[in-house]
Amino acid sequence: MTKCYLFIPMLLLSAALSAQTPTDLQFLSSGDVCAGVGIGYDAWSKYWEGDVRRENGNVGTVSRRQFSAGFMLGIVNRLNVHIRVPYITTHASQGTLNGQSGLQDLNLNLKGKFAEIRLGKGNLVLGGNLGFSTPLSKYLVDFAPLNLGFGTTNLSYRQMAAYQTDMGLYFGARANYTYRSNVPNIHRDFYYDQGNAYYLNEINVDDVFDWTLAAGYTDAHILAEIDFNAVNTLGGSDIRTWEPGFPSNDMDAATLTGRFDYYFSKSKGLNFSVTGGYTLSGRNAGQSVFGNVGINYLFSLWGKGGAVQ
Amino acid sequence: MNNSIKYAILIAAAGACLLMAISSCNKDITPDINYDAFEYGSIDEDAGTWKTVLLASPGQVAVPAPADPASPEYLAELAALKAASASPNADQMDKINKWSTNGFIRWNQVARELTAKYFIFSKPNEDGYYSLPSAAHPDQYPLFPLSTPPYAVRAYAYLSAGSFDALVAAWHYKFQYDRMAPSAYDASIATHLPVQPVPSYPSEDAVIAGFSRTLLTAMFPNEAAYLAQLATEHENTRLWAGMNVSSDLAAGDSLGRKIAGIFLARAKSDGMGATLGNPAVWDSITAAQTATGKPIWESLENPARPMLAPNFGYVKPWTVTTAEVQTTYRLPAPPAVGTAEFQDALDEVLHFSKDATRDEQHIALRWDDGTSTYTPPGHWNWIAEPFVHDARLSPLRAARVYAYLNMAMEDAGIAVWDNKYFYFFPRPTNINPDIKTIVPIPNFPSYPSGHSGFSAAGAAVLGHFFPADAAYFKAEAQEAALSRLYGCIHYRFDCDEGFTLGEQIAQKAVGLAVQDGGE
Repeated sequence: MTKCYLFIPMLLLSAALSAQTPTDLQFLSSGDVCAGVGIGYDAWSKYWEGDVRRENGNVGTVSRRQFSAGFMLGIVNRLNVHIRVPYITTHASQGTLNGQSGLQDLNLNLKGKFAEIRLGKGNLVLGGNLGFSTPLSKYLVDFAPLNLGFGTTNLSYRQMAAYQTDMGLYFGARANYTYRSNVPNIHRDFYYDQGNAYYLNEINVDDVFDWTLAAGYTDAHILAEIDFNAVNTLGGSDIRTWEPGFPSNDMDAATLTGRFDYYFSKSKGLNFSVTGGYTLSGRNAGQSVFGNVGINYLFSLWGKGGAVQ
Repeated sequence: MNNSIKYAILIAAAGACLLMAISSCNKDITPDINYDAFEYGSIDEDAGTWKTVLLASPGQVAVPAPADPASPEYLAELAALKAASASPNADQMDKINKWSTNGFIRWNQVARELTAKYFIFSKPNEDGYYSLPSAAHPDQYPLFPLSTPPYAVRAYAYLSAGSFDALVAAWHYKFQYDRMAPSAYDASIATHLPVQPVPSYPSEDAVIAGFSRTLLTAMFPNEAAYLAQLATEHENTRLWAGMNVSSDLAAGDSLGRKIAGIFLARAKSDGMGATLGNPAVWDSITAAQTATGKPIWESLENPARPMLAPNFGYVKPWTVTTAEVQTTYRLPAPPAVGTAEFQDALDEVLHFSKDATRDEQHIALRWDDGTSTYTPPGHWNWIAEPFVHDARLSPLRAARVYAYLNMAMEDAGIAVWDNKYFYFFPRPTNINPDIKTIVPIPNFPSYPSGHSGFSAAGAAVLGHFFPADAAYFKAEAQEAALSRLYGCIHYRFDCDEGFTLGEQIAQKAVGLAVQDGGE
C-alpha cells in the first residue's frame, strides 16, 4: 500500500524542526507523486519562561495558522524526495504587537529505506531521512512570539526504525539531529545574551535533538497513529523574566500527537489526513494545542504506480 | 541489501555535501570587539588648563608628588615591573590586548552591558500591580536599577563627564610632576603596548579604572564584585604590559575614586531618586490630565503599568537649566486629537501598521533599543566608538567627546520627558486600537519622541567632533527618528519635534565644548 502524508502538525519548534516532516517509513513507488495542501493551527496561552509556566496579558493567546503546499516523489522505490513550502500567519489575541505573515522556510527531504527484514509475523524496516531547510523570505526573526521562524538554515538527519506486523499494527522509533546555522541577521547591531553584550546582528543557536516513539495501525483505507515526541535544544539561554523569547533560547518540548488518515484507494487518488496534539511539558516554549488537516492527491508520473513498498 | 547500502551511501553523501556547504559559515561568535593599540594622536600638555565639568579646578583633588626616579623606592618599583612584564602568559596577553590603549572605551562598554542587563521591566504581581526596584534593597526582585533610557543616559553622562574631569586632573598632574614612562628610565623593561608620549604619573588607565569602578558600583550596586574584578584586571594589564609602576597606578586609582565621589555627590541630589514616582504622584498626574477633558495617554500594557519616570523632566540637567527646560525647550502643543492635521498623522501610522515594508520593519527593529539592550543613548555611545578609536583619540580626548555626547543626550532626554508629561499626549494606539506595532509601545506619553531627541542630540555632538562625518551621523539620527513611525508607536510630528528639540539642546553642549580649551 502506498501512503503519502505531507504535513506534520506545527510544533512550537516547527521553524527549527520543519525538516522533520517525513517522519514515517512509508514510501512512494518509483514515478509516483503525492501532492497536497494542508492547513494547520497552533495556539497557546501559557508558556514556559525557563521552567516557570506563565501567561502574559500583553500577548494573550498566541496563534499560528499555516498553509502548506508540498509534493513527494518516488525517485526509485526506496528513495523519495519531498518538498514543502509553508505560508504562516501569526496573531496575538491581546496587546498591541502586530501579527506577521509570509513564506517561512523551504523544506527539502530525501528519505531512503535501508532495509526491510522479515522478523516473526511482521517486518522490521530501517530507514533514514535527510532534511534541509532555509528561509524563503526575510521575515522578522527577533520578534518572539510572533516571528514566523528562526531564519536559520538547517540540516537534519533522522534515523527511523519500525516494526510492522502483518495484522497492521506497527511500532516505531525515530531520532533526529538538526544542525542549525547561526541566525544570520536579527536587524539590529546589539543584543544581550547569556550575560554577554554582542555588537553584531548574528546569533549563535544550538543544535536540536529530538526523538519520537510511535504506535499505530494501518490497513487499506486508514492509518491511525499516536506519537510521543521530545524536542531538546542542546543549550541556550532561558527567557528573561517577563521578556519575549530570543532565538538562542534553550527551547524544549514534549508533545503527544494523534494522526488519522483516510485513503479512498490504496494506490492512487485522494486521501485525507487529520492530526492533533498537545504540549505536555516544555521549556522556553508555548504550551500549545495544535492541529492540521491535509488533503493529498496521489498519481503516477512513470512506472506502474501503486506498488506496495 | 545491495540497494540498501546504495541508498544509505547516497543519503550520506548528500548530507556530507550539505554539511560542508553550511559549515563553511563559521558558527563561532564571540562577544569580543578587538581594537588595535595605538599611540595617542595628541599629547595635550595644556589639558590641565581645560575647563572641567564639575571640578572647580584641575588640582581640586590633591595628588602627592611621586618618588624621584633615582630614589630606591622607584628603582624597586622598576625592578618589580621588569619582572611583571618579562613574559606575560597567554591569558595576560589577552587581557593586555583587551584593555590596550582603549580603557576608556572598554568601561563605556561595561556600562552598556550593565544597562542591557538591568533594562528589564518587572512582571505583574498576583494582584495585578507591579513592584518597583528599590535602591535600598538593590538585590531584591525587581533588581535595582531599572535601567530604562532615562537611567541609562544619566549613567553614561556621569561616567563620561566624570572621566573627562578625572583625566583633565590626571593630565594636570602628569605634566606638573613629569615622571616619564618606566621604560624611559630602564630600557630593559619589556613593553607590550605602545609607550605613550605623555608622563606616566598618575596612570590615566588607573584613573579610568578607579573612577569607573566607583561610579558604576553606585549606579549598579549588585555588580560591585564584577566591577572590582574588572578594575583590578585593567590595572594589572598596565603592569603585565610594562607600562606603569605600582605608584603610577595607586595614584591614578586614588584620584579616580575621589573624583567619582564628587560626581556621585551630584548624582545623589540631581533628582533621579524621585523619577519613578509613587502611586500618589501617578494618581495626581493622571487626575490633572483627565481634568483637561482631552484624550490622554494611558498604559497599553495588560495589566496597566504605572507611567515610566514621570519626574525625569525635573532631573538636574548639565548644559541647560530646569527653568529653560520648562520655557525655552517647551514645545508647541501637538495637533489636537480630532483635527484634520491630527487625523492625517494618525492615518499615516495606521498605514505603516498595515503596510510597512520589510525594510521599514527592519529599520524599526534596528533602532528599537528596547529591553535587554543598551538603550538609544547607548546605541549612540556605540556609534561613536569606532570614530573615537580610528581617530586615535587619547582617553582624555575620547572622554571629552563622550562627556559632551552624553550630557547633551541626557539634557535632551530631560527636555523630552518634560514635554511628554506636560502634554501627556496619547499614543497612536490609544486613539486607534487597530494600530498594531512592531516594537513594544513604551509605557509613557507619546509627544515628543525620545529616540528622536536622543539621536538628534547625539548626532549633533558627534558631528561637531567629527565634522567630515556629520552628514552620516545626521542621516543615522533621522533614520532612528523615523524608525519610531515605522514601528507605529509615534506620529511623525512626535519624531520631527523630538528631533528639533534634541538638535537645539545639543547646541548648548557644543557651545561648551568650543570654549573648554580643548578644541
